[in-house]
Amino acid sequence: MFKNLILTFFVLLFYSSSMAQKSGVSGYVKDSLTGETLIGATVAIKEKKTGTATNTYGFYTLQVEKGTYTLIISYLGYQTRELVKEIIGNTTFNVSLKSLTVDVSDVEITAEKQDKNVTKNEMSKVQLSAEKVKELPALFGEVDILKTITLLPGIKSGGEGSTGFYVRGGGPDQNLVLLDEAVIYNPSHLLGFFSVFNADAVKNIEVIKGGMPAQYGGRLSSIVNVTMKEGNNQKFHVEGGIGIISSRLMIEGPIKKNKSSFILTARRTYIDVLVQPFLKANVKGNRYYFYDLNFKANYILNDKNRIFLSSYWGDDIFSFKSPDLSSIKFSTAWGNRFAGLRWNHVFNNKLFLNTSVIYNQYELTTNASFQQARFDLFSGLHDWNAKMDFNFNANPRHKIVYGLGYIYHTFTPGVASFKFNGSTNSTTTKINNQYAHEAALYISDEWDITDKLSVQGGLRFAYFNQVGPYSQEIFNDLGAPTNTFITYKKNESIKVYRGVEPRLNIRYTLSPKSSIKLSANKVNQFLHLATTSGATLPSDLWIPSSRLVKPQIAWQYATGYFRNFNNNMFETSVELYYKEMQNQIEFRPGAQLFFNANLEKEVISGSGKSYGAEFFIKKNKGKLTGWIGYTLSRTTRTFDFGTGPITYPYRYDRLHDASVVLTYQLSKKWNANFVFVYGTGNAITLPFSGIIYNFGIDLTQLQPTFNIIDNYNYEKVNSTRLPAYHRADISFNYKAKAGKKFESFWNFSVYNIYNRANPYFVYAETNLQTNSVKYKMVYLFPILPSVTYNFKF
Amino acid sequence: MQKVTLSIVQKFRIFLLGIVLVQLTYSCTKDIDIAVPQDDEKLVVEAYVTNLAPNLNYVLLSKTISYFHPDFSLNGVSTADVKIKEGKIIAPGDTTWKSYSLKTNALIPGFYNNDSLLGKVGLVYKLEIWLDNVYYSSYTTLPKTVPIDSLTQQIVYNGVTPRAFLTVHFDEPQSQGQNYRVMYRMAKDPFFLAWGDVPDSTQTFFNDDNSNGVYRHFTYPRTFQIGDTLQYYLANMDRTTYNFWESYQNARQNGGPFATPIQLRSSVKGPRVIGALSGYSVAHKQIIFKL
Repeated sequence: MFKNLILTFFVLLFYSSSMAQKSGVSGYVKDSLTGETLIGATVAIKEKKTGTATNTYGFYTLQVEKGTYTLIISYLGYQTRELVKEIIGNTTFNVSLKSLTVDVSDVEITAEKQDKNVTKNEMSKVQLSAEKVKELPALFGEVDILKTITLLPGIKSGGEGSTGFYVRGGGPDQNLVLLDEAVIYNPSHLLGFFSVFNADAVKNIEVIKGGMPAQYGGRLSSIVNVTMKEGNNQKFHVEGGIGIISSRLMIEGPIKKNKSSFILTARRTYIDVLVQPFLKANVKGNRYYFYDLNFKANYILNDKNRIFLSSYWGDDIFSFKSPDLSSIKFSTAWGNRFAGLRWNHVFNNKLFLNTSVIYNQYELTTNASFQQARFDLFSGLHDWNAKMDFNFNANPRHKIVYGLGYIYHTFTPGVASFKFNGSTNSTTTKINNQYAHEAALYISDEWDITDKLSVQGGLRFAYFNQVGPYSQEIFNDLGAPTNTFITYKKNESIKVYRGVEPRLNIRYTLSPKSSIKLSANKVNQFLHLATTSGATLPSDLWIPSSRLVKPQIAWQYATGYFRNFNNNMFETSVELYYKEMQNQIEFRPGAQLFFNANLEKEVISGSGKSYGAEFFIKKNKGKLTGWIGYTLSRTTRTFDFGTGPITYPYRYDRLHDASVVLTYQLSKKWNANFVFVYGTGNAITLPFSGIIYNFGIDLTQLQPTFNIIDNYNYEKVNSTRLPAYHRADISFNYKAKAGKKFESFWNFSVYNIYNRANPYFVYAETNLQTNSVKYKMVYLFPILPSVTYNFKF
Repeated sequence: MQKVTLSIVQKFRIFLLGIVLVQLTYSCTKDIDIAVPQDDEKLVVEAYVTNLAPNLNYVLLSKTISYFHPDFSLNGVSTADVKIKEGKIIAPGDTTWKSYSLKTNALIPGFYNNDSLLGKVGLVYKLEIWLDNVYYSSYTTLPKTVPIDSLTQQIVYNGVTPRAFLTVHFDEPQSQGQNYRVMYRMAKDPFFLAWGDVPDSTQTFFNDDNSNGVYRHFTYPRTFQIGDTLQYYLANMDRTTYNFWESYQNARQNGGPFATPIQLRSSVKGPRVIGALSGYSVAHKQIIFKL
């Protein structure tokens, strides 16, 4: 079957590349000052009342009969242009847009003129600009893209001190986080307090939480597609910021003007350096910092060909050196890296191709040495990824995207080596590597059946094959190895999974300002995150689907009503969704996940369900802009923890979840931002009773001391609610007087302005003197002011 | 001029440091009220059979305590009929049993022992409890003892004070299925092996799942005083016992923001019961740290 699909794919490729269009216009939409391509810019033909949007590479294509037309090109935060263009045959037309400058007399931020949210087929999709994210209040002044997206309806924050996010009832491993198409497996620094994305390097953030287009797959809940800037191809430019806990610097410029450019960004925390002279001697040996580097370069070969090289390199590093004995040392480092090469090729004004080859990895290394002994530990995940994505505008009513992708996964669950100076050899123990091929073919057609009715139908064929070399040891019912193995040769198939994933989006336009949309889609997920904690830990492992662990599957259905008011000043929407998830993964309570050769036996499979309503109102124009989002939802899981199947609220089940994000332009130099979030408290499992244990029988005293250990009831999982989470933040941005070459602005943020104590975690404290138990809540961040100085020249 | 610049830099650094320290040390706790449903009472069984000394072989029975009615004096159960049977397997399905009745101790509620019970390597042990007409049971075996090859020291100087690192050397058997608990104590300290001793830096659990048949060198990441006498114990146990202790260790170390509910892997069968009969085959060695 797969061979037939591939054959069909190449027939389609041949057909589409040979369909030279007699008349049509295509090209790139760019920023006039920097040459950066603009993602999602609208290109419309006034006379035809038709239009399109630029793709991820800033490319657009429109099919029309020969003639003279008025093209309207618009983009959020840019001056809209109307241009009269004679279109004869294949017309290439690259357009530059000017970034909006603020007029003293009428300070106004405008949005795109098209009713994009109403007229586009896709639903449950949001785009954010990095510039907008930078203005919002941030913890310690650290701009955080992942925290910002949790302000959107349907996307829930993991809570205080967490970049984890949960989309429409999905788990933290069900979000595909991409940076320039490379998968970022652990998108956080400092155990989840900050995300890996340096906003200076970011051009665009696209979040898809439902109605998933056919070109995406592999994760059940959402796609977070972060696109890096390409670099200014007109002139050199430096930008940076000095914050409380970190500083950052960005350099961009042309390699060859109008032809090629580069961007290099760097960020590093410096708490360790600042704090070091003031630490007490007993903790002076501790050091922690994180850094990240982004680099991207591109070269425009000609009108039809362009190549990009992108990369990211980031690490968290913690080290310890005993202040007393230099021979006791410990260090651990973890981080993501990727390098990707992409080629954009325009066959003709109907067909656009992007080809990418990407290598990415996530690794954790630990070294410890005590005098003569040394211990090293390594775990990681490496991917080789190749993909081709075609955009084919068959005719004005059909926009077809199709493509294929392939990933070769290498999982290294753990390699540990011990070396003792007195012995001749080191001892190495290893959990066997696992390997897998993951591939997908997809096709999707956006068909404007009538002016009012449009259908985007797609199919994605997903394929996963766990392959050798692999030697799988058989474990008995007690979890002990039996010394018998099933051995697979290199590339020998261990387990194959295939899935056909229908994707459907329907839009019916009720009026020029309103529409209703429907979507239904199925997604398979072949990778699973082995974690038992609500937080993201560097030691969390990604494991493949296998003989014992089945792929996660989700069906999601959604419908929405979209309505704009006051010439698009206000966008409003209501979306209802229902999601069913099969083969959900949990691990046996208390399972040892790291360095466990029998990890698959620790897996418990279950199912999940989520449904809800999302309300969204957004103001796009005027001095006051922003949005209010509210979600009413329920999320449950059904698992058997040994006491029979039980259905319980998911940890991040929140009946109410609301966010308010407002920006007010006070003057030419000042703007103010306000954020408020509210969420029903997380559902948690607390012990219901304690087990008394003794401290051994001291036969000389016969006076045992007693304490207790928590005892959980697995028939009542997540039956306790934490207090509700709510918080308000404000920030003021001041743009200092700009010189000819130098600009600067200050960001003054106050996090948690009314000093709300939000739960980080809860524990029970037993008092043996008073025979009493109290629940204690640990909270992290009270009211926290911060200031960041940003500059560019 | 340079002096002035340095002064400003230092002030800025101190200012930033102050903000950071205030923020990072500001995490606080407060009491909260949480409605937690009440759980039914369970019997808790802590029982040991070792080859080391009869006074280390005992059974301790108690009841779980409700979070709503905490009473931290041991909720000991002294009214049970408790036996440990020692079994010798003659042939598959044919085991001869010798029964030991355990008596209560007046000083410790719920404590049962028998001075003549001493575990023997290679034998099977069965715990039987009758309490209020309800029967509970558990099995354990004492696997073969794994001898400690040697204990060695490495002297280091903390300033002018000499200290000693300890390394344990033992030959892990070629046959797979060894599960270990290692313990050490200074000669002056009493011997503890009960639940309350875990977690403790003197106690470690591991098995040979990933490193079978390897000669092991185990250096502790701490130093000892010269002149101290250290007793070292290497206990081998069956997998059922190990599974309980591994889960128990995880439960004891559970806490903080990354805590998750832990399920103890009890080996005692019966209604509403938690616990294990732990069988240890213990090897022992001593070292006196010297210059």
